[in-house]
Amino acid sequence: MPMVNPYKPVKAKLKKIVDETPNIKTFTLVLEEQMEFKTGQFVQFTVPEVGEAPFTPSSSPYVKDQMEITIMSAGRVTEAIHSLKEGDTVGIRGPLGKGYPLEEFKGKEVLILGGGVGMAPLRSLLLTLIAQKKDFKRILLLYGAKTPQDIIYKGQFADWRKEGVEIHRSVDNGDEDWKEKVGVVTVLLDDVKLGKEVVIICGPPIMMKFGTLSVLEMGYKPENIYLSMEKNMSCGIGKCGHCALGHYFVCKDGPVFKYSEIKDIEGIWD
Amino acid sequence: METKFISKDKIKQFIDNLEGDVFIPQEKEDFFSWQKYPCNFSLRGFRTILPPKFFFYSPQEVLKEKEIVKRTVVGIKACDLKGVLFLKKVFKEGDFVDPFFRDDILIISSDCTELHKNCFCSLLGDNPYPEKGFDLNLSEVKDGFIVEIGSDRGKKLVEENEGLFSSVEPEGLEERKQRRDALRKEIKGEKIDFDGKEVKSEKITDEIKKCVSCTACTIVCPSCFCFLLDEKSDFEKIRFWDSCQYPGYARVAGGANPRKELDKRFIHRVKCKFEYSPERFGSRGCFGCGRCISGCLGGINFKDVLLRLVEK
Ligand SMILES: Cc1cc2nc3c(=O)[nH]c(=O)nc-3n(C[C@H](O)[C@H](O)[C@H](O)COP(=O)(O)OP(=O)(O)OC[C@H]3O[C@@H](n4cnc5c(N)ncnc54)[C@H](O)[C@@H]3O)c2cc1C
Ligand code: SF4
Ligand code: FES
Repeated sequence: MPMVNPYKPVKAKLKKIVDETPNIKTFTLVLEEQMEFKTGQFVQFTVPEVGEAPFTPSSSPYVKDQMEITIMSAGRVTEAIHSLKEGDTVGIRGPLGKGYPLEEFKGKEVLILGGGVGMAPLRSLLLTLIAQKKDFKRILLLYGAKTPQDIIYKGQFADWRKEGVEIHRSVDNGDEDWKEKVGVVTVLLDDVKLGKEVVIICGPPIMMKFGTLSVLEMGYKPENIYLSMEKNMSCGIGKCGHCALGHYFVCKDGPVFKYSEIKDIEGIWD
Repeated sequence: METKFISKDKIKQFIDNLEGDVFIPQEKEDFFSWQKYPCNFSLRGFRTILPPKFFFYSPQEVLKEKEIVKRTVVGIKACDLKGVLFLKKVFKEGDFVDPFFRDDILIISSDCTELHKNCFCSLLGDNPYPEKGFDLNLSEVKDGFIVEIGSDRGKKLVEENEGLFSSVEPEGLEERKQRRDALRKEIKGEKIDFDGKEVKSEKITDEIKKCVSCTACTIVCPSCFCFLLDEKSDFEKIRFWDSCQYPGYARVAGGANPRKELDKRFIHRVKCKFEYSPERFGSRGCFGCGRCISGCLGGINFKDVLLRLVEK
């Protein structure tokens, strides 16, 4: 029997690279072997001879012949990814972790709270929800970025609005052309009347923390708050220990957790 | 389990007959170290200076399919056997199976006959003799060894060497029991009944301060499993042992680090062994071998740390 090697990536060709912001790009990949994933699952992206880093596909899981990944340049591996060119070959390992528990959202008002590049996995989720939109009572997206320039998927919000998603956006620092809200993303919570059913949050650590505290204060139940936890990862398959969060391994038990599952663990926001 | 007897003068013949690479403890001045057979060997004493995890899980390894040579490890002690079984759970169970961890290795364990000053297995409720997980276990008695057969592979090995073994007399089993009980009683101290759930770090602040983050404790631990992957060319990965005691171990891009401080890392190690591992793998991750005590550059006595943590 041939060996099943979970550390071996599938080769993938970079078909297209789009600049989203000065430090975020979206990469479209065509994999040598198709990889089906559930929205919210992640992959390990290999740059040969450089390293690997985890990312959540930002494309819809219904699109099978290619995969999109949106990546912020944040350090060694991501800088190497940003210097890649269309036509280059990279490696993808996955799908890893558990996806969003869509079943638990059915029939409910789904609030999505996103910050910065945290919009990447949320885009995949949003596209999935839109594809089954009859199953959900209401879909809302509150998205925040540093400046208008830092907003990703700039041209796509209009399409999502057309699909019936209620969208509100804010930036920390506006400019003359910015007509929407100014302030951290949680200020948007004051603008909408909410049924407080389920909320999904993904963004930088500080935003995850204050986002969670805000929705708790509004009356969301801890078991209805879904958080994407970013922890250091190496193997992605529950073996190497790096992503430990209390007794969980974020790579295999997450990366999405209900706040109720992790609220008593020390240092979840660090 | 079925038992046999092998006399002292036949044991060497038996080990000579083992196929492939054989590793076995050798007695040095006041310690035991692993050697590749043929060599002088000893099945007496206590655990080796380094744990046997090296044989099962390489400290540095390219993760690609390769030829493997048949391997037998002889003389693994009870605490270390528990360590190997723990690692097997980590690497071989769950949604993903690691194909590089060697669970094909033949294990011939043996009872301890003496204690190292840092041994504390029995304080954790364990025994200084192997009870399960071996292919064969050797217990020293007068004139030879009681051989306990723990698996089909072990049984086959005994059958292949039929002429070397004889049946066990009831006195032999009685002697084994007496020797085992006597040794267990030699480990003195308060029982450590600890589930790691509540760790009052103020009780051990002075100890934690001595840690210099050298990571010796995790390297010599028979059950520590953490590793880091790196890239080779052609999409191959190389794996290195890693340690949660390194300050940058849990750092993420942007600089956030849930365990930047020394005390958080130390307590993570305590909790990993006693709280998280039982929840993750159904087994405690510390078996009382005391190597982390022997190896600690800061002079921290992990047994005393545990005793202080359970103190009322
Ligand atoms: C499940 C998951 C999904 C993610 N999805 C996305 C996504 O869709 N888009 C996106 O942009 N980002 C995403 N991220 C974040 C992304 O993985 C990180 O930004 C990326 O790993 C950064 O890698 P880097 O090498 O560029 O950064 P670096 O900061 O250079 O390195 C980060 C890694 O290297 C180690 N490291 C680097 N330097 C040192 C040092 N001096 N000492 C010790 N350790 C060091 C760190 O501990 C860490 O493991 C996700 C993360 C997770 C966990
Ligand atoms: S061996 Fe001692 S000094 Fe070294 S990391 Fe472990 S506890 Fe710290
Ligand atoms: S990344 Fe290795 S255990 Fe989670």
